[in-house]
Amino acid sequence: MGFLGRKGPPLAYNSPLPWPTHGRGVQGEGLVLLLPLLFLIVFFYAPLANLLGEGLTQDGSFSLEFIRKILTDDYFQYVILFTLWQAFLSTLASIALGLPLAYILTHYEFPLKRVVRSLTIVPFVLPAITVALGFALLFGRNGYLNQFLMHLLGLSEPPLPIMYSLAGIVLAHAFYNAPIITRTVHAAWERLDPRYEESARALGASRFYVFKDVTLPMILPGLLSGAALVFIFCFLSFPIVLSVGGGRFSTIEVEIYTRVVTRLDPQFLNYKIGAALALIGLTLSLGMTYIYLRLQGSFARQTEHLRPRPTLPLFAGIKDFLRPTKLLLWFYVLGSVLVFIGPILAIIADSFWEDTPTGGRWTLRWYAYIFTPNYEALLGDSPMQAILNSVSFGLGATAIAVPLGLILAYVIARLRWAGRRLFDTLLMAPLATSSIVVAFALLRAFNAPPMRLVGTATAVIIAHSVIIFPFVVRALVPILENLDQRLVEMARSLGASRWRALREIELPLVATGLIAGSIFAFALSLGEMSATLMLARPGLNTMPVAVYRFLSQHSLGAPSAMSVVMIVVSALAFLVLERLGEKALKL
Amino acid sequence: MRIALRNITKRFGATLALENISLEVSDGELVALVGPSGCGKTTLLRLVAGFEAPDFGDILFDGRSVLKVPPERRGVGLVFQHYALFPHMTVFENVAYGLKFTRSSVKVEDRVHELLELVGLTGLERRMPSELSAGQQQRVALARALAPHPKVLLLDEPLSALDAKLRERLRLEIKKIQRALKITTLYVTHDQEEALAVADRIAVMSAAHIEQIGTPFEVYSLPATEFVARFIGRGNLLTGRVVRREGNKVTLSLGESMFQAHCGTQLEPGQWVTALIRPEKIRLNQPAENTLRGKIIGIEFAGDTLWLYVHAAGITVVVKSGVLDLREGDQVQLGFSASDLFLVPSGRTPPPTPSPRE
Repeated sequence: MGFLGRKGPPLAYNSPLPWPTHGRGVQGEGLVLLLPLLFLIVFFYAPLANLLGEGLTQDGSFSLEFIRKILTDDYFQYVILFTLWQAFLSTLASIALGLPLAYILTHYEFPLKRVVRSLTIVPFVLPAITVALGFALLFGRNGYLNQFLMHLLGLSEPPLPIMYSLAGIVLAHAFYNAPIITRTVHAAWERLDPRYEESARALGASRFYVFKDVTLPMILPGLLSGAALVFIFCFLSFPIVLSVGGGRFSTIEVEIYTRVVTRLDPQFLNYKIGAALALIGLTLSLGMTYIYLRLQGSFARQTEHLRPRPTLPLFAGIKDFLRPTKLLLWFYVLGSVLVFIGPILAIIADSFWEDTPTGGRWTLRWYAYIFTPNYEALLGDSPMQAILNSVSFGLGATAIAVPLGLILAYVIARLRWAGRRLFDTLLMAPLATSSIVVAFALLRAFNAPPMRLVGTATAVIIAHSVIIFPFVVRALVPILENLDQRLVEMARSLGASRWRALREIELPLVATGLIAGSIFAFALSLGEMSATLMLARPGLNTMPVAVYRFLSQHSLGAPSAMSVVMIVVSALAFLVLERLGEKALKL
Repeated sequence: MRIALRNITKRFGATLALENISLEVSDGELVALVGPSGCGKTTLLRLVAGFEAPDFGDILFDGRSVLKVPPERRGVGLVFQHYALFPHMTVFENVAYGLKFTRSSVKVEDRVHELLELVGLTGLERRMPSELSAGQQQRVALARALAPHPKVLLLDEPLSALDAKLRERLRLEIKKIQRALKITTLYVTHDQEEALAVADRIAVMSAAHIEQIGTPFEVYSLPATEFVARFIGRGNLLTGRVVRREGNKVTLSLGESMFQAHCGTQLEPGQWVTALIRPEKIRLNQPAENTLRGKIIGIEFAGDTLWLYVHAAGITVVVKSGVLDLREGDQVQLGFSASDLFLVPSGRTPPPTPSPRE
């Protein structure tokens, strides 16, 4: 399951009380536990409440004027419906692209299967803006695919106008989210004991009926919860809509961004409209999150005595290869390679390529360019500074989010049902809130003394921390849950103090998970673009923001080189996560 | 329905799961396949059900090969150890599921009620499987398997997930239902006691082949191999040497003593043999053809009997004793008749001496 899903056993017989009630606890334990809550309240809940309040007031008193304005205005109605429509289409496309891979992973054996399975976490660590860039390079009018097809078919016009179209947005979202479908469905399918299907067959059901009556109903919760998650992600998506849509399409997020950041607005009217839009968007995404959580609950069925599903070799001789179903599978594999690997290869190729009047040549000049401190008017800053900023913001956000996330995860892992639901919901709110709205809220809350953070690196780091914090908690909870609390009790009965038990028993046991969680957090911060773009000033650009600015001016080469840097970092993060094992991080 | 397995061989990759297995099950008979885990008994069941195909050999239902018949048209009822009740369907829907695919003049409702009555679960139609106890789930699984009038019933460790008391009760019920319906049944279990209790005949399996097929009495009293002697029932297996042979009377040296035994097969003086003596055949302090004195080194209390571990003249034997006032350290005299010392062709290695159960 995705990192949003709680895996691991429900609180079992050995689940201890929230924290040791016998003996002395760690000194100051209570205070330490308050820190993450305080952080969330100051930097998320209070600013968000303030922002939503702005959308609900006029001249200092309560008013639904702005909400009414949006809901009755043709243009805003269109924006809201388009947001839902593109999310719906993207979800369908993600299912279409992700389902066959889930089927292949569940039923077939092939070389590198483990790697392919692990690669499905890549979208989580791959910055969305690099996907947008890869799509532009591969599917754009002058992209590799169109150029190739024009050359091949002798056309004068690009045959596939995918870039700057709804189809492009949907396809890019599918690239990004299909792996989520693959993960959730594969997990559900693999956990489905084949004996259910065998029982049905022995009772006389044909393959078709077995699938319809048994397999499908039993993997459906997994599929639906994955689909709900994808829908939420696509609903809140910003970089892809902005870049792949090329400004021709506006979703709620894009609308808030353009109103708040790019329009001169002496009366703050756009702030009011933006706040009201944020309120409407948040209401919708919270509703969808609720549905997602409900589906998650129905999904928590586990078969204890699972018999592993038998798998067949994917390639079993030429005759088998030519069977219609197999051919279909191979066709899918080819198509998904184009969609999944193509954009990344396009970026790498482009970063080493320079167009010249006589054609073009291989070059390293883009790398030289981004790694030297020269002023770039597009950024109001040097590309080099963007790289340095990305690293320092990433380190800063990780340093805040991981310790706070660890504390909160520790508390949640030890809570019983009622308290747990409360904390889960508290955490889901930042997840269901778009990065744009998080940044918008910070922008409005901290733009005046005594806490004037807007325009400083601190604001960006805090925004990143708020955004990655829930992911860190979600990743760490299962690890801490699996930590047998009796080990601590044993250590203490042997004479270790609470601190010593923490240091010598608990920390070493969760160390791998912590490292994996930190790398994950760093990669998320590095790829974050939306909030950064809202808060960025010259001097505060990060790599994704720089890539976006280059891309919006159709300047390639430099952003490709920068994206390669990000892809390398993502790949390293992936390799470490893979090395530590998926067990270390329950993604 | 008669089932015949002819020279079945099945491999999974490099592992040999079944080697040249032949077995006939007559109409209405209950044959138990018993053996340690990994011996191939479940694979054999899956071959009959049609989920696996043999690499070699044939499977016949009433003389007709069913190798080309898919599982859904073999007409077998199947019950798994962990029930595999469809968790998204009610009890009623589970039992009715197989009726979707059969044409019958009887109404679905009537058939479901008939079966739930048969297994004693009337009134639970609307429950979900998760709301049932393990024993109830097992009964539903049985009802579901029997609903479409299968000609063959296949039970794969049907009771292994239940506790001991329930297991004993349910195995009696299964046998009763099987008798009433006269349905040909293969019953896979690793529990030899269960096999002895329910089966008309038992096929004892070990390492991909059948060691012996026979009635419960035969496999218990006349084990064909050392493995069967060891696996079925509780027994003392002693390795000794033939000293003398006159007709079917054999003199053996076991430990430090000489014993008389009866034997039909050819045995030469000097040959190693394995001798089996069941604990209940050894009498305490009574005259017999074979006697030896020893000391009690361990006692297990079992209500109406005691299990004694007696060390005597270089060997240790288990004895079932109706006499209850015995203590560890007591000296006893053991006796048994020559006809109760059963000789099986020996495996190579001398067996370990029995010790108190863990």
